[in-house]
Amino acid sequence: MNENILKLKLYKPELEKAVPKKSPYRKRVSPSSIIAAVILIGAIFLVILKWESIVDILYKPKAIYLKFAAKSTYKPSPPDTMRQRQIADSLAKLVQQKVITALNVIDSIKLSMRWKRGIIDFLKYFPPGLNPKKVYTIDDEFIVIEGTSKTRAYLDTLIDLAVLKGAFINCEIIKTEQTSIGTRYLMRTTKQPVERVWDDNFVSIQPYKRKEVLDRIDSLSRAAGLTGNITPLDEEIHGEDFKRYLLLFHGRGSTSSIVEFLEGIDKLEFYVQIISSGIEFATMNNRLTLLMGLNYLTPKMSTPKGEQTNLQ
Amino acid sequence: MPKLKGEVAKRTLGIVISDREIIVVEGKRSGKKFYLLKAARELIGDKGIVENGRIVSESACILKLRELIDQIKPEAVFASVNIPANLVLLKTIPLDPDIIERFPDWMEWEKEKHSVDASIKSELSYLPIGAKTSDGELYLMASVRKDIIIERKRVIEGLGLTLIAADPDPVAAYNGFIASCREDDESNYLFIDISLPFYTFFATFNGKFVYGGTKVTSVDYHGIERGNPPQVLFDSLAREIHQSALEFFAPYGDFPQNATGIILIGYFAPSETLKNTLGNFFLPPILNTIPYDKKRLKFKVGKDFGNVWGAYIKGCGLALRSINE
Repeated sequence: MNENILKLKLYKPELEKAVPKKSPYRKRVSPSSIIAAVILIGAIFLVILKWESIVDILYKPKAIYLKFAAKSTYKPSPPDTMRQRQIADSLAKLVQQKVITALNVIDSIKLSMRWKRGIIDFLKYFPPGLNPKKVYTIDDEFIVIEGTSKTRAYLDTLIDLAVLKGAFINCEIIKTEQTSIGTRYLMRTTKQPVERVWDDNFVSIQPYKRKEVLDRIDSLSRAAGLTGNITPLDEEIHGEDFKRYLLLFHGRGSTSSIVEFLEGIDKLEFYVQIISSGIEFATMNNRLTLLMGLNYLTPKMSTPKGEQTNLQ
Repeated sequence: MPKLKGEVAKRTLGIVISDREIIVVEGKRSGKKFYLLKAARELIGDKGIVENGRIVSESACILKLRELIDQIKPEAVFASVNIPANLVLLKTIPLDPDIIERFPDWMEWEKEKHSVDASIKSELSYLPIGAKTSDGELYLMASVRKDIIIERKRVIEGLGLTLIAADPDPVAAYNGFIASCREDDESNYLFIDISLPFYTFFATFNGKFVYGGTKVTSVDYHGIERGNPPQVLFDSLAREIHQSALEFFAPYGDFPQNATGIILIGYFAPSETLKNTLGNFFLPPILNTIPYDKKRLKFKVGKDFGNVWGAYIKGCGLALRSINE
């Protein structure tokens, strides 16, 4: 019964202290009823002993096991359907491909799960894009996804991926395969080492402030006339106190919108470090990716007025 | 600590503390069966004991619960308590199964996205609900302020009981239903918990939990509680509930208009007038009793209890929790 109920752990009892107390309402079993039960069980046992066939069973247990074993029949597991076999075959081919291509990856940093999710988010956002329908696997290096793009969309996707490269993310389609429901892509994803330049005045943004910051940048991009999406990525930990919170922005818009957005970022009271960017210029609809690090700047220390007076 | 065995570990008290009523249910689990042993309920509306889900008078609350416990004389020493839906953040999030393992702070991150004030200390719990989408496996995330749990824990301990779990109202009601319905039941039900001033929605799709949301009514619910309330009040409430249900379940296509049935639970579940009025707004039938499998759920409080079980289902769900989990 308890397998399907939802067991949330909003409160966890301290097990050591959870010593069962006795309920004042607990019914007590009287000694006379225990004696009566023992007598009853004894009487039943005596009856069983006199019953010859039962005694035989008690003394020849092996015979019973054999009897039951003879009755049981082996049922083979149901065969795979054609569809399952097709998927298994194509996945097996992709895995073979992975083994060969993995050898070529040398100077790269593997992407974390959040980066991978960011890429999938990115691919979902850009219309028409790959339009991923299903993600088969995401491991340290490869994403296998199934999309429904046509030739034109596929070419657009390649441009998008090139723009993404500007944000220090290298995502390339190394194999495609047509299936009955769409195209299956094997994508290799790596990122270049992110620049790590620090200023002692930087202070990390508190976790509870992140959503606020994210919303601010989002509204700024919309106000500038960009259509896009922001995906939270990793939190880079540097030292005991400092954390850099990374965001990936990807969007489209006119050149003036991009400039307005970048100017707006520059005026924010918290510090947005644009780590890298990728832009693909088109007539009216430029594609832009930004990899941003968020930090606060500590207020600059000013000399107290009292000290100045003393000097005079 | 080794698992507790024997009768003491099998029995749990489910305690529901809400604005309008308090409920105590003693349940016992045995294999696949759940025995509803004892149950008592008292209306406490307008007595200044609980307001908007928060316990205003701890001593009065303990006193009222003590009266109910003395009435039913339970043998259980462990208890689970409800958390009103309006005080809980409940979300269903699609995730890749291994992401939590790789990023332990992922759910904290998700919680922060939905929290109004993330600086307040809160408890967080999440678990898979056994359903998958193209974006990943669905996880139910629940978060509640720590002080809300602490105030309820103090009441339970004030009764001399040991608190073992605290479940949000919709989760408790779902557990009560899913543990007692037919195991092959693939119906889609809409549950409406009318525990005024709040009403809460959740659904079961093929037995999986789908949370809708909770709202506070704008109708004069005190008027409904008085003797011979005018029909116009019921009409207003039913219209509001219908509209909210459509809003909450908008992402789920034609649901709830194509639901198998609508089940009323909570404080107003027994109201025949409200059932009839809601029937004028919703296409699916408003069920008179909650369907259950007689082999799984055994009423030791009288066979007719099945007719009013909807008012106690949250307590039953809470009584299903065990010290050994």
